[in-house]
Amino acid sequence: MEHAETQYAQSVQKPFTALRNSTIISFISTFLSVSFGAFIAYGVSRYKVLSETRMFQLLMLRMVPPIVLVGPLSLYYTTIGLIDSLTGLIAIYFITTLPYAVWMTKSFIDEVPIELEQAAEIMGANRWTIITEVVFPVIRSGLLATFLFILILTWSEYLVAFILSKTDAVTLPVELAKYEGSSEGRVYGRQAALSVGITIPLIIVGITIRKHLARGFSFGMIRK
Amino acid sequence: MARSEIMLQRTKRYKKMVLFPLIASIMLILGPALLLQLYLSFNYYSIYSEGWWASEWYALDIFSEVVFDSRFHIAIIRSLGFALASTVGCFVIGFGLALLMYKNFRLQWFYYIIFIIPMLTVPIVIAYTAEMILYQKGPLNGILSSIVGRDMLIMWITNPDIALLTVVLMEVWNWAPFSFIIMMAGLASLPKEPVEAAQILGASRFKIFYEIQLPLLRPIIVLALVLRFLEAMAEFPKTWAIFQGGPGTATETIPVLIYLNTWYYFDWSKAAAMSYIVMMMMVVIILTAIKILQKENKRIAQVQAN
Amino acid sequence: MTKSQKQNLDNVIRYTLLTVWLLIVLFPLFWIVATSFKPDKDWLAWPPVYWSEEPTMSNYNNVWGGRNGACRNAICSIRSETIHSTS
Repeated sequence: MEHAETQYAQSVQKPFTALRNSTIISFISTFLSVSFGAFIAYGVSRYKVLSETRMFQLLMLRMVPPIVLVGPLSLYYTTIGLIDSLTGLIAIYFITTLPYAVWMTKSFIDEVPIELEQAAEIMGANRWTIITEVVFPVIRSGLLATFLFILILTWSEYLVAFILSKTDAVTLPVELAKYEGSSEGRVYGRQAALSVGITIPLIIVGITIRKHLARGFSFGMIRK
Repeated sequence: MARSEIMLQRTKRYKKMVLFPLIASIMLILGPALLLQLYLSFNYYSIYSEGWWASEWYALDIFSEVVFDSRFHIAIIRSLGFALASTVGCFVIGFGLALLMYKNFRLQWFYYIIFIIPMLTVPIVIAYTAEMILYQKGPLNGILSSIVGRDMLIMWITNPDIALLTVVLMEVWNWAPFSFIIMMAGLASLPKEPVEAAQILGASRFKIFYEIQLPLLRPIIVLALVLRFLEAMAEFPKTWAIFQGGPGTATETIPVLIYLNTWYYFDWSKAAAMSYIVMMMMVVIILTAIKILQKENKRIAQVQAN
Repeated sequence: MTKSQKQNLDNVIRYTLLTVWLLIVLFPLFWIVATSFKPDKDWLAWPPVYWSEEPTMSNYNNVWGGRNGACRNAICSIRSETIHSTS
């Protein structure tokens, strides 16, 4: 009985909830990812906090197919109450996008001349100030590009959102899937309207940051 | 002397502070999932268990069942084949476009913008749009019919022999821009002198390409191929949303098979064992990839120094 | 073949190939946008309807506007009301 009820609840179309969820989840997880990623990247760039091997391993963390972990993850989330929650999705998106954030911001930080930092040090600034008020402003456009790029990734993600959400934390891509098995048969027109709404913002964002995309993808292997 | 000691202390402190959230989140979220998956591959979790913690100890039976499962073998081969085909396809088209476009010409900016759009499109949207377009009585067949002259009613989605090819085509459409962008940047970063020198010496265009440009591009080519291959192994929306692994099992790749076992057959333990085997396989592939990339990275540094 | 003839031929080939891929990229995008403006009957027509004779905002209204839709602020409800009165 409960199964049929949840099945119905999961198929009710609520684009408003999906839009709200997608926005919250994407923006927060991306912000966390880029913030922590930038600080880690600073450490790697200036202090070699992570060796080159570790950096590659971090990247490869991202490359493991999510499907192999998302099953037990859903059981774990159910046990600790994070299933179908915004927090749960934000957490997993944070972890999976962090490698990209570190790699991309590192390549920008690498290009900031060390003299700037040394000058600030001489003037008595502490590390926090140096990073936030000297280095980050210089790479402002790079940080923005990284932010937008990861935003695109989290906004369009399907598998993890599909499995870890039921009714409350549904994101836009999962919402689109609801229109597919609609009780009214094939509602192509409405699917298309939803699709256009989901995709156009991302395309505009992507075109805006296109000059930085090459930098982000080459992971430091292409020198300018 | 004292200064370098301070530097060392600072480094250690910074390292601890900055890596803490990373390690904490891995241990709190990924760690348990990984352990639970391991647990499930040795303990059978059935729909009759009251919870996953009440699973029965099955020792190696689950693993042996999976290792000898031919459906699993075929899915692995399918995934590898799919990843290979789509990676090569993406690369050929991406590199081809880059070669045609890297020299500045009049509408370069326009073509560039349009060409990167498919990569920015949400994959699930591509899946459902493709489903509309590839419908037997849909626009793609409509266009083909007009070109060829008679009714072309190709069953892109319902024909099991073509289905996987259809997914490959979708994947190539989606990700060719990825190789395109990387190769454009790579070609643009090549030093001009060797090429100009060879042109003055009268070498043919083909020879210049083969012996000068290609070797310099190798690290970047390797990067583009490796990254795409790994992601293609994990592809899910396009195979699941449209085909659900079908028709029959024609598009049953590894992610689809694991998904089916977990949520349709409710055979969590079998899926867990499969997941671990796949993970080990991917780790081998990834470690090889890391070694290759590191080697290429060193090559670049050497060439740069010269 | 003279040098400038060769260059012209190069350009022609280049533009042709690039335009072919351009069309391949643009067609699905065009299709999804066109379909979003189609009334029900045009969704599955054969021969396929590339651009509807009677484009409508009803799909957008259904998904993004109205009471169940995605935008519930003042701007969207004003727009959906004007659409309701014309469709």
